[in-house]
Amino acid sequence: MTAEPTVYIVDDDPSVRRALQRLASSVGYEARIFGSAREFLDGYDSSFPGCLVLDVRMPGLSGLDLQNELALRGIMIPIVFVTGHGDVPMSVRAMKAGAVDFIPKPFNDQVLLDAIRQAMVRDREIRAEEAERAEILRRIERLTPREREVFALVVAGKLNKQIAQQLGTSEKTVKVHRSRVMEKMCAESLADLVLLAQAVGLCRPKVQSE
Amino acid sequence: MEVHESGRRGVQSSASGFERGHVYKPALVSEVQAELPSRAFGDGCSEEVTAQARERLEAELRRLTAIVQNSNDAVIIQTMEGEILAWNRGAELMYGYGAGEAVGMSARMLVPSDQHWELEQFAERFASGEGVESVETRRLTKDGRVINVWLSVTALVDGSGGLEAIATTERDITPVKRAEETIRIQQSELAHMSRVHAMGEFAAAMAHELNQPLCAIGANARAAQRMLEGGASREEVSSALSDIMADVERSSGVVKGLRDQLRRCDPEYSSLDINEVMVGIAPIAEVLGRCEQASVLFELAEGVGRVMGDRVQLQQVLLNLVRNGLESMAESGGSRRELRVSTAAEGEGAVLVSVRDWGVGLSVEVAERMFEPFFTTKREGMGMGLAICSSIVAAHGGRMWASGHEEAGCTVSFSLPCIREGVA
Repeated sequence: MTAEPTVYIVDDDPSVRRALQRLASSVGYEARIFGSAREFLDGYDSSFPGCLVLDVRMPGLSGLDLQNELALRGIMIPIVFVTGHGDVPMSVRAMKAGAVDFIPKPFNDQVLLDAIRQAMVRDREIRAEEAERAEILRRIERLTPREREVFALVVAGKLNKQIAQQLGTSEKTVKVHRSRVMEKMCAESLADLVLLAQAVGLCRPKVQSE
Repeated sequence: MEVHESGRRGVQSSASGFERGHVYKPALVSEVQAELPSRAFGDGCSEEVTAQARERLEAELRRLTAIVQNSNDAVIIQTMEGEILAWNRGAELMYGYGAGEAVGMSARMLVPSDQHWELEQFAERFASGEGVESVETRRLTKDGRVINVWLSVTALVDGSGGLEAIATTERDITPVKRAEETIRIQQSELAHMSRVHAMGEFAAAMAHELNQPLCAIGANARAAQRMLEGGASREEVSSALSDIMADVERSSGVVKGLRDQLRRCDPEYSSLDINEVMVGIAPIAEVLGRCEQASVLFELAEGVGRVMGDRVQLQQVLLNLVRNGLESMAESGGSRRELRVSTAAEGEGAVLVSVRDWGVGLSVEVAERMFEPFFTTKREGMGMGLAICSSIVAAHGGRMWASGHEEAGCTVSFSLPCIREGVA
């Protein structure tokens, strides 16, 4: 399994996709080409790092359709759109849905290569976050059901006394659970623990106290 | 008043009345009289019978004379050598020569110099015993105008059946020709306007289509540059350059198609390979297809005959049908987005071109009226497209029709007569 970041190019125009492939290869990227959104969905393995260079208008599934479909499948690959006839609403829609860039054709090659580079950076970030989240979830897996309850209440800002009351146990027991949670979660402070919980969506960042 | 006649007898009997009055010249009548006994009645007839016959004959002659003399068509009699013997009022009006001038003049004077071959051809035909049919030709008037005439030629024979003179009846069809020409020009202008209009509507699609190869050319060129800087192999660089060339060709195909359609031109009829004509619009058709996210397929039969026609106009017809088909599929929103353009031989003498779509199909009412001017089912449309198409096809001697399909969509077809082998 190579971890070589790959530029996936989806364009229905064979000449354009070959040219894009050649351009991406010329700066050292691995580049794979697909003639349709469907072909890409069938051939893409999300475990490989990379980014997607996507034509907006294609027969069958359009580029925007593919962006949707990927989101539904929970695939986070960064997308650079290229388009021969992009209009403003279309680009707004694409950018809102998380596209890295929306580049009209014909484009300056540097603009496209910069966008690809940026998309690769984002992919690395996403993958790093993903790996971190997986690690946190693995740690949470190791907690006992009781420890998880305590964990949830601690990061919700409850005091030991309140937790003990809520769980119908002694404050001393809560303290024991709590230190075990800190240990298993590899957290050095309450703040650390809260960040870990936030990373996996166990609690929302507090904007305002109620 | 003059008598326009020569001394030839056979000619006199039919040309004798080419004068303005209704009264025969005594000399002429007497000549007829002199002929009567031997020609019509033979010897031995009674004086009375002869006198009655003469009267009838004279009455008949008077009538014929009046008809010929007052005809609006020019009636001219000339010797086999081309000397004009008789010249009616119609000829005076048409050519501007008075009878006095014309009689005795050479009929060549009436023929434009580039048409002289025609006279020789007539002479040859008469000599070989072939008749001369009516022909459309050109003649020269006294004041130098060239007019279009419809000419009928009759050989005049003497009593023993020998060729004696030639009578021609000539009608000035210049106004008719001019009207025809006006209609032709108007039709060609209308066709041109419709093409320009269509191309205007295609402009966005065309701009996009040129964008694609430009984009690929740019990317390939930059890639090739980087490859050279990075020491890539000759093959890699060369393949990038080949792709660039292919894209240049592709864009020039689109530009050429556009330019052909936009060019203002008189129809130029030439012998055409219909498949080749159809393929000529493939770049534009494919662009339009891509815009509607549909594929345009060409299924061209081998060995269909050649047709006589104007390339640009026939392509215009096809583009119009392609566009209609694509629009119909966009409107119906069906899943099958495919347009098939096919050619086939239709029997021996015709070639069939069909455009099959999977769009909204055809109601009976639409099928009946779709080729009428100003009939349209589109929200924005003048309803001239198919009317112009069908007039173009008709001008090519063909016909156009449409039929719906039960499953979906419709087929619009036109057929054109083939050129017979060896004629082109």
